[in-house]
Amino acid sequence: MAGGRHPFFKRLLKEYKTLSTSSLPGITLVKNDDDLTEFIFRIQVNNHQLYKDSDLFHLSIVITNDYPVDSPRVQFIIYDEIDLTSDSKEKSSPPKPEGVPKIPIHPHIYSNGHICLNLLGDDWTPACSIESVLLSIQSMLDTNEKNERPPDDSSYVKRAPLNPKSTRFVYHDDTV
Amino acid sequence: MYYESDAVSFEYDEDDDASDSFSFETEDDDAALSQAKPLYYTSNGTTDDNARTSTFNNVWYRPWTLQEFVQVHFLDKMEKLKQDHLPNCSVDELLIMLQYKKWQSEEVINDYFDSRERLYKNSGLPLDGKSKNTFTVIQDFSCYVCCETYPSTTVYSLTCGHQFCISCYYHYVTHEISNSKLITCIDPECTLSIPHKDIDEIFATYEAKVSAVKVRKPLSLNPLLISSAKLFIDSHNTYKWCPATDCNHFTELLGTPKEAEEGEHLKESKSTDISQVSIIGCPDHHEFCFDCNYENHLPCPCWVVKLWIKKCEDDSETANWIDANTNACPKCQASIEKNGGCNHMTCRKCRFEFCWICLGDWIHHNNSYYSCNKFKEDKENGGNETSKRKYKSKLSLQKYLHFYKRFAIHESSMKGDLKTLSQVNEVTRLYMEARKEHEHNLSWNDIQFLPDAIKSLANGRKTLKWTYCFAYYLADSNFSEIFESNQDYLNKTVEDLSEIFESIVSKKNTNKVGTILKNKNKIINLSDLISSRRKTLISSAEVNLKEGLLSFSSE
Repeated sequence: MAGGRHPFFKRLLKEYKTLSTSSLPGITLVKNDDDLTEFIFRIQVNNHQLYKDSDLFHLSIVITNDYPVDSPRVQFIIYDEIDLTSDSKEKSSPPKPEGVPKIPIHPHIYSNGHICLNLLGDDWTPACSIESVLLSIQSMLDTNEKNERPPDDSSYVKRAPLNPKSTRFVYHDDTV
Repeated sequence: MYYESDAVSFEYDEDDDASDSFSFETEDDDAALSQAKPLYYTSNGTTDDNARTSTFNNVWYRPWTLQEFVQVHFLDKMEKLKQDHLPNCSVDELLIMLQYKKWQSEEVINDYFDSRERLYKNSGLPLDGKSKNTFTVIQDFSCYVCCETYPSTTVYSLTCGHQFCISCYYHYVTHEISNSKLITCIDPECTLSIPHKDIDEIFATYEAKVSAVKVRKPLSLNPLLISSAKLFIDSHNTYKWCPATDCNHFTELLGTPKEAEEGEHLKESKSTDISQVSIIGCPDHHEFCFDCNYENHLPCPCWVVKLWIKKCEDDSETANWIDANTNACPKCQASIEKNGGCNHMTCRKCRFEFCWICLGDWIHHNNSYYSCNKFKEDKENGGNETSKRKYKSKLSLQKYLHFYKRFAIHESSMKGDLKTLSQVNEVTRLYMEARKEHEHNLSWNDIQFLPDAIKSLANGRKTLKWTYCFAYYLADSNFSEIFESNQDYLNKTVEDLSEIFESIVSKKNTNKVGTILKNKNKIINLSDLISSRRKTLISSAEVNLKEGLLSFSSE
């Protein structure tokens, strides 16, 4: 990063250490940059009625300059892990996951990967962390029983901004 | 009914001491704006001393400063609620409840007596009414948010006891404040709200850490209250922000007597009745138009202003200029501007050599281009289509440039005037300080004519500026000459006054105060003259437009 270290680098370092040592079941850190401001995680949901074990969901988390006062930029992306591991031969590449990269189907997840989650907007406080975002999204998928996109998916995706943080979501309901 | 705002009912009370102490300070002798103040009756039958009417029409408005608005609409309301209904609640609690209920006293009262517990819970107050919010200095504190370990730092916690360092709280509150909502404890599970007073304390403590000076500000400057006031103003269309540069004030439209009878349609159509233009003022006496939120643009009606602004911004004028001043290369059609020199042109792009006058190939000119008579032929034949069009757009461009130049000159002179005037202020200030030492026969009152003259000059320029926009769209008639002579008079007076001010601050002038005193009568006379000529110009334009003697040409 040209601007030097993130002002809260110490905090990011602590979060990174926790994330890379204590493993969260079903969540894998796939990639991150040296500044600890861009992360890609893989989320897998096992034994679920909607999601197959072979579905690979990739979550991109970008730490904004105002983090942790401001929430990170979080969205699902289609990401091909196989290409990356073959590129970086010097690193001990993690086991190549078998499966198909997908954007999970969910009434609060748009087909472009944007997530309507109050934790990422109004309910964010500086005491929330990358881990709390991951856990919250994992449980969102775990408890989902509806095989559908948000009702306004097609119209939203057509005019959605690139950065989901520029969207002012109206939080539909908290029951799902 | 003039100001039915849907969210909040305003309360002005005749014997309201609190509002009196915050009534704002204007000089009533401000010649440009306030006439003798008539009493206004508001919807609930009480009077509003702060209401004013515009000199130009019967618009009735109230200028506000943010601080004053916070005082009247938030703090006074809170005091009243405390006195009349909820004397047992603390100021912090009342402000939090009011903020939660979007400043609707009625709703707070209803909810309170409905279920105090629920209201307290929802607005983030400790249920037992005993808040234990603390700022403490702690040694060896490790903050959960920034992960820094401080040898010693101030730590803030609400009744819940969740402690975070002051620096994290400062950044958090700064970030949240623009939402104009209650700010809760940093802990994500905790719903307790930070009292307004503590927000001030967080700011003061953090800033003291940086600047070593702890500044205490009145509650009416509280950042959350100010931000809430801004939101309120933005979301109510009876309020308009003053468009003047760096002006933070705003004005509330109370109504025009004519409004009820004639309806809104006048503002929409291309009306030439400029008495309908809602010119209002802010507490700093900047005049602006309520309808288009532009500076005072009289004698132009709003729709002419819109046309003009659009024209000035539009590329259409650039296109006209290109058409009038450039030729397309006869071979590759690239636009070429000839910036002097000979008529033997070589296109930069395709290297084609041609004659600028006849646009023919240079080869045929045999170095004798001065006798190139093709141009003459064109003239004699009355010109072809291209040159006719060129001539026309050149003419229309010339007309536009003529007026735009003058419009722009007055705009930039206005800035120059302001600079001069701030120097004049400095001179008088220095003089007054010197006067304290040596007794002199000059008192503060003796130079109070200056601010008035300054306003008068600025307003004169503004009107003058817009007369050029007016004149550009004006259709030719005998009466346009009358308008032009009014314009000339105003122009001359404005320039005269501006010149005097400039001579005062001129570097060569060693006795600046002496010049002020010597020219006192002249300055007063000129500034009065500007005001009256300005009024004459506007009212004669108004009358002539109304009677159809002046009209706007449709472009």
